Amino acid sequence: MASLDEVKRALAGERAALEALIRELSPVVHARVATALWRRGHGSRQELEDLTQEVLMLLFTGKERGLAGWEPERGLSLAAFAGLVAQRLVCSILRSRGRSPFSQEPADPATLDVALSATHVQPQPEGPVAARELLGLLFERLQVELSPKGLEMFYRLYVWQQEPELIAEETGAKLEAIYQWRTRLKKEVARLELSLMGPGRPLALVKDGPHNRSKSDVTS
Amino acid sequence: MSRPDLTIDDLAQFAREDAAVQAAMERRAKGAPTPDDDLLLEEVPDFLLPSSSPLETAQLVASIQERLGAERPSEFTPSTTPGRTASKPRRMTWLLSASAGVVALAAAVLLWVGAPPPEKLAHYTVQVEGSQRGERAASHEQPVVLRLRSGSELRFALRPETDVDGEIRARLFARRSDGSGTVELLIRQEQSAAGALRVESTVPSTLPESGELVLVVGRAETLRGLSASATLDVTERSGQAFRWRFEHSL
Repeated sequence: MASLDEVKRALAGERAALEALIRELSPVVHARVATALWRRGHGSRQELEDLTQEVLMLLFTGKERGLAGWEPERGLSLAAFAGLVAQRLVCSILRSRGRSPFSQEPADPATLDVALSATHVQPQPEGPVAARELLGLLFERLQVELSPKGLEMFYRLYVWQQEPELIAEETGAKLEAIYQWRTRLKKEVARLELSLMGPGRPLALVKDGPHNRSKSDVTS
Repeated sequence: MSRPDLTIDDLAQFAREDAAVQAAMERRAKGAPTPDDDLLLEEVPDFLLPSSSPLETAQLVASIQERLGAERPSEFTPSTTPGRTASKPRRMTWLLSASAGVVALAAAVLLWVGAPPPEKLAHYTVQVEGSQRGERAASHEQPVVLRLRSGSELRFALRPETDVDGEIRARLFARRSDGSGTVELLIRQEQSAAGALRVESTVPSTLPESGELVLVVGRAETLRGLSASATLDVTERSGQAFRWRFEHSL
């Protein structure tokens, strides 16, 4: 795993350090792009490769919002930090391409970007697949709407289920601030859910495996 | 109104499952899969699974290094090669989105003040292959229509009327017929000793249904670091631009 010094040398343009870091982080970025395309239910090998390289480029050249923002003393490994940044980047890119400059409206009305607009999506309580897809929409929306710090807190508090005391110790934030993040994140998720679904029943929890999508649903 | 606890916990579970698939992909990419990975990746289409080649990594390194170097011109500007250049290794430029969006792309602006005017470039002719049929056009000719299919290879052969010294750079853009929304396309290029260029590009699925392709050729020091709009305003003195209308199908 690359050290902070190696990251700095890579960002300074040193070829050997750059090569080593790209090799280390390419699988991380690739995985975030691949799962984002899989969630959306469409994509191609070309799009996967283009997006992976675009995100890698942004990781290295994005200054404070890229790898330059990694602070190992905050407790996140380079891979974990790069993964969070990459995931946010790919969701932002895909969302901005949905509002492509090449069209007045989303390129394909059947894409998930329509659901990300102000139009409410009608819940289908008898459809676990629909519920999973809505969770996917919410997940993507969260990547874009939260600040980088907010996204990190979501992962620490809820996905990795770290104790608030540990988070406070690693990040240097006050314990009270961590509790406030917990409350804010719940409210933000509820707000996003409402904006996607309108007033209605909660999403059904489906415990039948990742994404509940088959290969045949995705075109290559 | 949903209970916030239920939804955020659902979301966290979704994120954990997402992360499990990502971890399995990473292990596969590094050649160290676990027995459970096949099950985790069972539903993932093959084309989404990792298969990056060393060559692509090398080209990516060069592009990033170039971009980082463009932001630090005193450290990384390559020296001008005197005399005729030998065949250049393949280079790659990146798909850049001109859309403002949320993503900020670092595009260094080339400083013209104090820079000596570049030597006038010889006139180029271009042949393009990869659409339904090869088209030949010079920059002064009326544009022809290229019929493009996603994933197909588009190839341009640029030949100067007289030998050209120094590093020559091509850049390829696509925009809608009404001129809105310009995107730079990924290319690979090689340069001969006489300054001829071979440029290749894979047609992306994100190309609009119709519009205009613009291929710009000019001296590397002139084109490097320019934004898309600045490049398309390049003058006859600095380089040349070739235009084709295109129709794109998936």
